[in-house]
Amino acid sequence: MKHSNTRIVRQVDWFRSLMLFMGMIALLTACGGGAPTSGGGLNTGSNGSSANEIKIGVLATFTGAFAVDGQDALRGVKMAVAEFGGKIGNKKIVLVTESSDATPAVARDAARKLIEQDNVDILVGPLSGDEGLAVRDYAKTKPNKVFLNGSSGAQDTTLRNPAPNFYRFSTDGTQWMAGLGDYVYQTQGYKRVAVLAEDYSFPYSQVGGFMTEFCRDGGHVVKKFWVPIGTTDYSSVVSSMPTNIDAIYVALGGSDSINFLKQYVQFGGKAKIIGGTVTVDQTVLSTKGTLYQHVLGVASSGPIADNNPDPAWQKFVQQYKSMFPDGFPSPSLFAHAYYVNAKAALLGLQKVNGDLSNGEAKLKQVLSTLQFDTPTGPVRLDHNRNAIANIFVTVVDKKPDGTLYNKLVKVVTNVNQTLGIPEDQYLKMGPFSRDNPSCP
Amino acid sequence: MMPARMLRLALPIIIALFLLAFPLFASVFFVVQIGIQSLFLGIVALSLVFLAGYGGMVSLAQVALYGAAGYVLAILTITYNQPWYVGVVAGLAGSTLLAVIFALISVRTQGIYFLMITLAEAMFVFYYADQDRIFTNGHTGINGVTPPAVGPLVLADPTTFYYMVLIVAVLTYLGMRYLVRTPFGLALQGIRDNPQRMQSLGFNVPAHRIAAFTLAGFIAGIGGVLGVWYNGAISPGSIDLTRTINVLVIAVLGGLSYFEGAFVGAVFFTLITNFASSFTDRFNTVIGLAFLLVALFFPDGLIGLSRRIIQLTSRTTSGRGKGMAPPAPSSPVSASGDSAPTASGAGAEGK
Amino acid sequence: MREFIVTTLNGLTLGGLYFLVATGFTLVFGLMRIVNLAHGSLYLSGAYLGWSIGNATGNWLLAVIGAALCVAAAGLLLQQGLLRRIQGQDLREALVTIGVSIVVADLLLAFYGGQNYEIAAPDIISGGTYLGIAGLTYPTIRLLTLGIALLVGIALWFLLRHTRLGMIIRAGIDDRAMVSAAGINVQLVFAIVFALGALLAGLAGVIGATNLSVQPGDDSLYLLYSLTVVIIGGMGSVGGAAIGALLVGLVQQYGLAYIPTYSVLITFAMMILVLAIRPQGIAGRRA
Repeated sequence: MKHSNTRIVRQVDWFRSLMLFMGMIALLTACGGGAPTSGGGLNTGSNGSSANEIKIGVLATFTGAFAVDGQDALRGVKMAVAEFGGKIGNKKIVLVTESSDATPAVARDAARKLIEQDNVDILVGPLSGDEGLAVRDYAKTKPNKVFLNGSSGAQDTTLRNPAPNFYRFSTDGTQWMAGLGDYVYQTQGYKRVAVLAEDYSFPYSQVGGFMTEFCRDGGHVVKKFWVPIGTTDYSSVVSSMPTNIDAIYVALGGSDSINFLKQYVQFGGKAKIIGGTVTVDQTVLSTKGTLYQHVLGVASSGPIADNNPDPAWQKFVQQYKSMFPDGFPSPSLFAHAYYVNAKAALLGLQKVNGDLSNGEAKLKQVLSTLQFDTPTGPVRLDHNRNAIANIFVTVVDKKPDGTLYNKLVKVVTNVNQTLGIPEDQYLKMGPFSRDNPSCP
Repeated sequence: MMPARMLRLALPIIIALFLLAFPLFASVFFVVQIGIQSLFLGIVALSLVFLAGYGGMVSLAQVALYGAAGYVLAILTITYNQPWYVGVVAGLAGSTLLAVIFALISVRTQGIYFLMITLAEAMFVFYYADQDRIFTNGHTGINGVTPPAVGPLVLADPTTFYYMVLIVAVLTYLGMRYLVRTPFGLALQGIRDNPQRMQSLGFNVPAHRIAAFTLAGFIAGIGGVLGVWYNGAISPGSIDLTRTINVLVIAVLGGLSYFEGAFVGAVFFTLITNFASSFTDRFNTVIGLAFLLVALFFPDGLIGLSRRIIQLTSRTTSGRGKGMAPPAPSSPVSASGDSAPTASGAGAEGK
Repeated sequence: MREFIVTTLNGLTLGGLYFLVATGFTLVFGLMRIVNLAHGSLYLSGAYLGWSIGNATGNWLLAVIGAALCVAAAGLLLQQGLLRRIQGQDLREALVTIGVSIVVADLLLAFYGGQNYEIAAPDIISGGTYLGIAGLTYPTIRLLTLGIALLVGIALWFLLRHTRLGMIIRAGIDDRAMVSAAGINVQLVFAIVFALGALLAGLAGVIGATNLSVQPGDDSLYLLYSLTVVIIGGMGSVGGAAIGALLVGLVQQYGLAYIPTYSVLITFAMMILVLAIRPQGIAGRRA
């Protein structure tokens, strides 16, 4: 009836099958691998690409729920490369992509694959906050390679324990909130606010950035709702919202934002909404459905503003549309961030004429002091190699053709990582968390 | 046709030589991302093969136990600045202890119920790690865990780490193979095949199961320690539903009743996940289809499949055998779990 | 007080959605002993298909019915094409359904992309309904979900208790071999039940996408919810699925309102507790 207990009797044949597998691996190894080189740490370097090409590795999430953002990120990189005609001097730019899935471990593996297996010279990425910390740690073990950020926006990637070869020409999540607290308090007149955000580091930095200004102005945050990641049903949050508030600051992303907004409308919520950077970004505004009517007038802030009249931005949008007719109606912050970082890399390469010798020393030198004009204004780095750039306060508005966009209402210039506060004072405030800052 | 005995002796030596020499001819990337990763994932899968193939308990909690050890190690060494050996010992103790707790909860269930309760337990651990601020640092996890230097051996060096992991993997593998021949191991297999009969013979079935699960938790914890050092960090992303299923995929692909299958499956899996993305965006479909094919047609996994191929070829080349293949080791996938009701009318579950 | 009432309503209505998702799962397990781990994929397919049909026709009702039927057909295909070959082998069936779910999730991602889709409810059910209690206005769509869940529950109860097919199903849940020995075409019943389970999953998908939205990863999420509900309520019992769904929905909403940080854990803790103490669930029968 049942199988007999013959496991004790070992068959010879599986040895042979293992042989087959070993052979397969040996073959793959021979094809894929090369001789090891010396170095420290668990990850060591290998030689660069051939003499007449420069390989740039692009690390983003091309799978899963963030795939859409990753695709836009790649568009940004391609735009930057196109501006240089695809080459620096007489060296061709080759892009190698690798996908992570928004988890730090996979981001690290993907970075390792790009650097050690695909032998890229420069790495641009990753996309999301927690991945950034992992890639920065990996960068520390590879001092001979240049790493630039993609769009990851966790503060600590550069503010605490920075890596000397990790450059972030895009702004972080806290910087993205510059100007919003002041705007909603002074211009929109919201004095009492509740906060709704997911319970992890990126929302902490967004809420922290918002509250730093808002509380300083005299605003009150009467209640904070920190919901577990992956919450889909916000009905109880909605129903326990205090009624004596002017607005709710919502720092949710993507589908959570949509779920919340929808349910809020269904419950007939009265308070206005203030958006975090990704709460009403392009990916949310372009949701296929009829939700969007309810987000008109929501103020938010971030590194881009869809209708920025600045000619540099308009040109950028035109180029995006003509290069990618199947992209978003307007480039997302992912496209923008990856574009800025990739362009920085390419400008640096141009300045050193493609010289990557000696552990890419010349390039690193040039990047630290690089300043250039982006579609969103000038950018330069601080001493932690983090960007100082413009931030835009926006309000959601509707175009004549019915599509939604973020209308620019205010530009905040020269925003640095400590939001203008002296660095030691800022660090003393402590890392942003559930309870920090607080102004009930 | 080479005498079987000669093959039998030569092949392990060849394999051993290959594994030992691997860092000499392979690139560092291969040593680290394929070699080391396959080895410690293989150790975790080994614990699943032991439980499933030899104990009849398919557990989806192995990755959570891996995570328990990893988190304890990370918390102690980073947050509390303890020396590495304290972290390692505590980590292994942690995963073993958690395994005991899980076992006490789950031991009375069998088959598919057991699968589901271990899944619930694993999800509990994942959500806890994702939400807790006090110890696990939530979604971000804990970074900066470096392998230590043990005397002259700098484990952070990839080659040294590889050999260390290789030795641990080999020892664990040999230990498992030895264990299943001991009286305990045999009793466990008896319990897998017919718990009622074993009970009536006087064996304490729940105790055996708890012991087996605890041991598997210990082994998964070993994988966890190595994994944290490999990654330099741990986060809930390392123990989510996807990773949980990955270990199941690895074990099934390799062959759920073969210890070797754990490592073969791990190699196969790491190769696909690292290289299939170069060929197609749809590598998850590739993995899913491979898994599906194995579950449908080759329930003995890759090892079982190659055995069958070898048998076919040896039969045709040597004319040996009367067309009777030797009886296959039992696979929990192919034969067990048969829910044809017994005479008592109720199924075998829930007893 | 008002908050409590609303939270309770939230829990009830969420429970309604969970009931729809979980019922199909429990019937399939109860009768066929198949743990259909592709159940979440069926839900997800229903949601996406519902969006596609709704988008193409502009008619919500059509989307609901169309998606449910398509998913029922898909489920039938899955059962007849794959699961039937390995009938009786629990673990293998579970593994096959895992494989299917991986493939389907990836294909849906390829086809629909990673962004959010939400199905717009027709105007009459958008917005709120004025309830007499505490001057509340409560979302109509949620009340409708609860209503549909009740309807389905009653319909199933009627099917199981008062029709011949239902009698066969109940007998099969109790003793499959006997039913077969009594000369009934067990295979046909299996096919019908599996298709029914898939139909309900697809229906739940459209409703879930109308209430909230749909995105990749919802398959795993709703599969976990189904498992939780069915384990707590009892495998193979529709009444148990109702109890389980109510419990899970209420606990989740109370948890979210009062102790948000660890609310997720409570649900799983409940499930582990039930499995440890009473493995067959609240309303389930032994094996």
